[in-house]
Amino acid sequence: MTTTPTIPDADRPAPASRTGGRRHRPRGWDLSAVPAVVVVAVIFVLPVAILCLRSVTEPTFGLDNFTRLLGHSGYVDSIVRTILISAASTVLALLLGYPIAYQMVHGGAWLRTFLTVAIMAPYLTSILLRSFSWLVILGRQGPVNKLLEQFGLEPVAMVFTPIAVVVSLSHYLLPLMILPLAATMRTIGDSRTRAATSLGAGPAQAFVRVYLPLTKPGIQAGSVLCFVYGIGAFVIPALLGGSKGSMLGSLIHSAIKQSGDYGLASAAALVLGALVLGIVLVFQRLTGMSTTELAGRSATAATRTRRAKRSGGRILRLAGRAAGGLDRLGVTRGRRLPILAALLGALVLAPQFIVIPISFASTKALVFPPVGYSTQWYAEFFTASWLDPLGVSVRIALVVALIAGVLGTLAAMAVVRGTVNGWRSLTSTLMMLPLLFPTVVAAAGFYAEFERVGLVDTEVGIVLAHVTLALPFVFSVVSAGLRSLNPAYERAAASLGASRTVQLRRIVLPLIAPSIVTASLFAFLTSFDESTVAIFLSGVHVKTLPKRIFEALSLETNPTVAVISVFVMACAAVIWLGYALFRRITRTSRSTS
Amino acid sequence: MTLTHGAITFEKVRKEYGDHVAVDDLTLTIEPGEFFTVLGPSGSGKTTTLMMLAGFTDPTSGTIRVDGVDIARVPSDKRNIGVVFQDYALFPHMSVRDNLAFPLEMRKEPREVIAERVDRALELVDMTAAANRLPDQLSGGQKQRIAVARAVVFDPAFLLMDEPLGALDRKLRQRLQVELRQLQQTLKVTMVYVTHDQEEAMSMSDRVALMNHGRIEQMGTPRDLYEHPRSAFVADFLGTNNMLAVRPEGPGRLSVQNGGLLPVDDGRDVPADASVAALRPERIALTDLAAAPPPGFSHSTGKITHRLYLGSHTMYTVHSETLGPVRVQMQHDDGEHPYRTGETVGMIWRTRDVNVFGSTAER
Repeated sequence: MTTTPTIPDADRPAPASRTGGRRHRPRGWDLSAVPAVVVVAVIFVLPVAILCLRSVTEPTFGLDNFTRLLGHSGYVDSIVRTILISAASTVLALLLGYPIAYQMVHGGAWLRTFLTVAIMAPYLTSILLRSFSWLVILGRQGPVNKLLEQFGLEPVAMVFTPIAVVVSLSHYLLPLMILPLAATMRTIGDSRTRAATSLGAGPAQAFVRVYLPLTKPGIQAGSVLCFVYGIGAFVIPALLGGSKGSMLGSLIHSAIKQSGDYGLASAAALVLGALVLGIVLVFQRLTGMSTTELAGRSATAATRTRRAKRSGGRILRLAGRAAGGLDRLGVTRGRRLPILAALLGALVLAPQFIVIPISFASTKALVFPPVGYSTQWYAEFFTASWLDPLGVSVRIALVVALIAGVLGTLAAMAVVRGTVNGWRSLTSTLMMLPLLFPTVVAAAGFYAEFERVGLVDTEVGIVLAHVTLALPFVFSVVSAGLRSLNPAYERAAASLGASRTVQLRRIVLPLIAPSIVTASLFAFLTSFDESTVAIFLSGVHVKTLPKRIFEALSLETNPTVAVISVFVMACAAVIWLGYALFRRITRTSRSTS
Repeated sequence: MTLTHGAITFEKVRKEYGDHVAVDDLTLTIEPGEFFTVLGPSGSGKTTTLMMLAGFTDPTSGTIRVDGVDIARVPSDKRNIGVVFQDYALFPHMSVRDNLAFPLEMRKEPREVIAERVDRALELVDMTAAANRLPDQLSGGQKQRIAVARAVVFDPAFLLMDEPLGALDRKLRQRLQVELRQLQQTLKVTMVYVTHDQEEAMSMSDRVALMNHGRIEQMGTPRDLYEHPRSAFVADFLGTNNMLAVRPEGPGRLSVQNGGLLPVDDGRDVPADASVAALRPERIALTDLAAAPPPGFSHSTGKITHRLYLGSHTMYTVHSETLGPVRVQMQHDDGEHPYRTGETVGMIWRTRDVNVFGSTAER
């Protein structure tokens, strides 16, 4: 046997080992995060920073823009309205989301599946298409007003008022409320409520005194997420709010694109960005949750860190006594909650299906149910005016999926397998930042800076912007996949003689391939669905499908959008099935063959 | 194969994690062909020692040599060590054959050589039939064998095993202990075995290093450690012991905390700071009261307070006036319990079976 077990590796320069000294061999993947960090820093952070700077330099140095913004009653109204609408939507999302989340975790198998689909289907549908559904539902001749007429009531104008914005915004925010809630509820389990019941608490009392306080981290995380996303909402108020329901996002958009008033736009953007960052920072200080976890829509970390802190006190005890009264009356022992949750789930899902009859309508006006039927809107969709934007969107989304897939995977490797802690936390914060920061502010930044280098109204410009928005999804999905991969596999490979590159190629990549495919799919969908950046950046030469839909909806009402909704639903169903099949195949190929 | 390779030396190896010292100036030498076990409770530094030897962690200071060569700068993929991991770490996406071929491919062996050596390794662990299965289709014991085969297939300088039997049930563990020891002797390879299980350490090792708080408490043959523990920790960790708090009380005598006397008058030097005496339950016999101790023996009396039937033997707890509660282990002759709870009995033991430790030995 030939044994030359110890060949000092010449091409791996290790810092000198002095006795007693600390030695760092670059054994991690730290450097692989560099491309993604550079991309986010240069394309996302830099334009936003410059935009913020412009609020005090444009047109002259000073606080003029802010005195203009805060001195004009219309602008102040807009800021206040933004906060109020966002708060109202958050409360509504919490009230609707709590019973749904509860049944998603504790309900029967069928109810759980139904509610998951009911929540995820709208989550994966473009915000434009959902706004269109609400235009139909809340419209003067929509189902809600038809129902009111049945009862002999006057029709109510809801579209172009804050009502429509709050309703559709809370519908949009609902998944962001439910995901952290459900994540927290999953960690609670049945045993503690059972313990409370065994100690003599009725169902309502056990819920109020034991269950509700335990879900506090989920309520906090969900509310912060909803509020932050609500403040940054742009498409929904722009399409449904009219002037009475307009928010800060629209102010920024019109200041930049209509009046070219960069100073005012950047002041408004700064206010919006500061509001969001302030809320997130206060929340983190209070709960000890990291940005990454918040953006990852899970509140489990908060559940972990917040242990045995007394909460509630007197209010909770009073509420508990009231609940005890309800228990004694016997109204809480029925099986009404699952039915309520199922109804709410159906309500959440309804806007998805309302567009099917509309797509076959014979009139251009949005009347539900339609007065006559035709296939003219399907015919209109298959013309260049719709197919060209579709082609552009698919092309952009494919390139984004490829670039974000590679960069995000490398960054995830650096964070999960890296060794330099400061760099790892910087990387993960940067990677998740585009998800939490208001997209409308970023879009304004992109527009202002891309304009200087001639990237506005080009596919390259949209691709670059979309890559930064898709990176958080790739990064979080691949990180999760890598974390669940036993590091012993790489150590074993190393002990058997595999170099770092061989470990990556032969061991790591094959084992996390499903995560990478999932992540790239998310990246594709993010870009394909993206409307805010597309509305800012595309113009005459390059028009993505969401931009085309936005134009169609803001200038007129057009049932062709319903046709797209129907196609998107069909595609989503096909992709979902294909994906389920793919997971099944990759799973069985591992246990058979 | 000769035994000129596979010698391992640690010289003042130290590993710190922040303020925590995981391994504290470890110095030891492992001979070629030796079955050397690192034993210790969790947190004793045994896993850190293994990680440093395998190259997964760098020592803060000190040197580790294999056959005289310092391996500090050698990355783990160039160290040529066969490692068997706690959870085996078989690559789940590769067949058993591909798992075994992997280290040979890394060494750029020609295809025929790989096929032949994989077959030989599979024969060695008696797993030829499973060659084309995936790891998920193997039982725990089969996975363990494949993990061993993968670690030896490339003729490593030595073998390193990290609690390789921990996940298996007791019967299988006992069988595989025998198999591992036989395999190591067939291959005449140096083995470094890390475990917290004293039975494994006792049954397989040439030598055992018992670690605690990052240091070696005692190093020697299993018999050495069991019979002649050099500290109270060693006496308490291995097997069962009656640990009595004592004070020196004149030559050849110790006073037990509640006033009784424990004679140690067999001519040895009792440390001046003697604080703990250890006496194993199986070295005490229960007798009828009348029996007087022969020379070289000590005795006491007490009342039986508990009796635990354990199949192969019975464990009595005897409350002695002089020594306090003492556990006594008795084999049964005919399956009967000769003594009953509440009965007053005599206890007799060889005086030299009492081990005495100074207070410094206690950490």
